[in-house]
Amino acid sequence: MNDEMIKTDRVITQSQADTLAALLSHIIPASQDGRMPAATDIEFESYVASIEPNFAAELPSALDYLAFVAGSKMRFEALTDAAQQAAIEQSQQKLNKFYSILTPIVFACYYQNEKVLEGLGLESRAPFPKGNDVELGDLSLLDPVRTRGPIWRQSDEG
Amino acid sequence: MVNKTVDVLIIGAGASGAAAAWSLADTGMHIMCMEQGDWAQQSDYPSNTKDWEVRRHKEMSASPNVRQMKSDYPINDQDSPISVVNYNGVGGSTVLYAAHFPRLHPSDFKVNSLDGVAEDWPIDYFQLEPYYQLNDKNIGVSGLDGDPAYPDKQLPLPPIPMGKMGNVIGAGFNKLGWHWWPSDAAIISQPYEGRDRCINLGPCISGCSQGAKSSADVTYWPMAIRAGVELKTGCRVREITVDDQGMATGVIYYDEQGQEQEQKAEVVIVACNGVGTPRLLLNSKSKLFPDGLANSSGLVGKNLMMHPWNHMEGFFEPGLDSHLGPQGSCVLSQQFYESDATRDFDRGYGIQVTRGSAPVATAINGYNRGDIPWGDGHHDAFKKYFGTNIAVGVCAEDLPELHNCVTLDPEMTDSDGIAAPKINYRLSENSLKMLAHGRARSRELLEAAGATQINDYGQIRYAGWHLLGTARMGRDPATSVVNEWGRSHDVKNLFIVDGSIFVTSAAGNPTTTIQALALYIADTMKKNLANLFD
Ligand SMILES: Cc1cc2nc3c(=O)[nH]c(=O)nc-3n(C[C@H](O)[C@H](O)[C@H](O)COP(=O)(O)OP(=O)(O)OC[C@H]3O[C@@H](n4cnc5c(N)ncnc54)[C@H](O)[C@@H]3O)c2cc1C
Repeated sequence: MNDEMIKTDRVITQSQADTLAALLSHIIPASQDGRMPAATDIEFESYVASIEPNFAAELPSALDYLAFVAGSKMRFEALTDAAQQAAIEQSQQKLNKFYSILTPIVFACYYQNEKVLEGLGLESRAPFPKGNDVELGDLSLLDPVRTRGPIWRQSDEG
Repeated sequence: MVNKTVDVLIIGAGASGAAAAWSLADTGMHIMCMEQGDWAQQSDYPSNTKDWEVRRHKEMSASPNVRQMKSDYPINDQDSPISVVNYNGVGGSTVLYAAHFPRLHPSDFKVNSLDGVAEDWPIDYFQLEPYYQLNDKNIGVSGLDGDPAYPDKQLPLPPIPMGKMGNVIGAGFNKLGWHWWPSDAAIISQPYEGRDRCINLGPCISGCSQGAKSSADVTYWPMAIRAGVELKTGCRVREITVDDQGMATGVIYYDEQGQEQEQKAEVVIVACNGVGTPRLLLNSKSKLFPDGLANSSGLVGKNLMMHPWNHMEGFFEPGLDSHLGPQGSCVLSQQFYESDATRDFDRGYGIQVTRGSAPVATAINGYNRGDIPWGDGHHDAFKKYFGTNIAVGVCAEDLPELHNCVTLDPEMTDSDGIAAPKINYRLSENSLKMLAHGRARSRELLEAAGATQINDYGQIRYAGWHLLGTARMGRDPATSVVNEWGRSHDVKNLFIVDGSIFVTSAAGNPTTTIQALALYIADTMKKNLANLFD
């Protein structure tokens, strides 16, 4: 086992976790008004481990490669936003598929998170049993449709 | 092991099998239904948990090839631009259906006489009307009376809510002077027969946790079982057996443990849907029926119709809350439903307006389109696209064509080793022209309603919801598989009641008609009990 592993159920090392955190906040940073958390703040690592275990297994090598591309002197998480973006773009050729799978997983994790839903003004809950109120709609808008009369075709028409 | 002979054996506990079982129960006969799947549990549906948006695409995916439950059989759809979706369990595909419930029109039964295409049905709208009505009452259907697209009809319950999006799209339709109407839905808008009303959970197509969606497992099955029908789950029928006189004698099936069993029956009714039924008949080969059972016309499996579907969505100003409400039912326009000689295609289509997307789907779809980025612009973009979209689907009438078919795959099997179905399907020139017309009208509609952005996704793949035509009804045994009341021309004690008996597809969701047909066939059987096999 790698010495850097900090928890037995973790799939990544601490330095990989630092790269991941920076990548996540690059994908979804906190909103400026502070209402929406960054994607760093949504327990992504445990989500991936439990919901997408196959993808979790791909994380270490992808994060290592991103860190490698970022450069030997500066760690990915220490780069400016623009430099992070440059590193991500540079890693695209090799990690294109990884990013295309990562993004929907991050978004799924993010938009099911309690803090996020509350930030959007939504309740963080299952749809059942409370359900939702939906207005009937204005049925008087159908008056012109009624006025035009029947539009079905008589079947004895030639 | 051979079990005791039953009077009637129904294969398949979906929309049609359930309706037929209920109707026949009052004969006092011993009626058994065999279903390969189990009961679905409302408490297991995704909308019981916060992660419902992810779960709905996994264990409750509508594709059997993705879902891969024990009761599912694989479907080879590589040679089709449309993939089949279904559910295999008590209630059949209604467990997942959107419950949009438009009837056929009178003209749909007369397409050859009126338009010179395909074949007329051997029955007409007005013969089926009392069964539409009975079905609406039995299961609980909601809608607004007075729709000028139909002969007069009354539904038992008031419409489900259109929401704010209904006002916006309705105004768009009005600007264009087009027909539109709140959708008829097999969803109860008020408490009905011991079930509580719809509370707008949203994801009807991953199962209704409230039980307000009128799927066959919560409507017909409790009634049929109370009336004495025996429902055996976990029984996968491999073939229908016949005697030397060419009469059906029962079935060979695999029980839950995968053990081969035999069940004898006086009458066999097939209700396995437009793919499962031809599969079973083609798998039922014998000396007398070397090309499959009931197939002297060669039409078993042919003429598959699935309703090609164009999907477009428009985005509007915030405040629409379009993500709320029963997902697949909002508004239906039948402006382009009836034939029109000035158009460059035969027959017509429906425009089905459905709800917007929940948060996860909004973010992922927005990213895939390039509208919701990584980084600083993410939050503003999400707000712009969340709860603001309205979906517009074009449901095109699919005319019967021999080459669109269900056959047996030479290699693929289900977990019991039974040959799986293979779909060969092409969109016809007529369908392509119809879809092009529908796309242009969908765009016009969204523009008229004030959409700020429109995305056209074209004809979509996972739209094989409606499985029709593969054992069609008719008076002539040379050109049809069953007669005008669902009895096989070749095997006098074999009936088919599911969507495979449709002669043409019409341009709307078929289940109200499938169930009306099943009730009509069961009723006709009851009226003819004394000479059922003459
Ligand atoms: C996601 C989705 C959305 C839909 N939305 C709508 C909608 O809005 N409106 C609408 O009208 N329709 C809709 N449909 C279609 C609708 O569900 C079907 O038209 C209807 O259920 C078909 O009824 P059926 O009796 O022909 O077959 P099904 O309801 O599919 O039932 C067939 C049953 O037979 C069983 N079976 C098959 N083979 C065997 C065998 N060999 N042995 C034992 N059992 C077997 C199956 O397990 C299944 O339970 C939708 C379907 C899906 C999947």
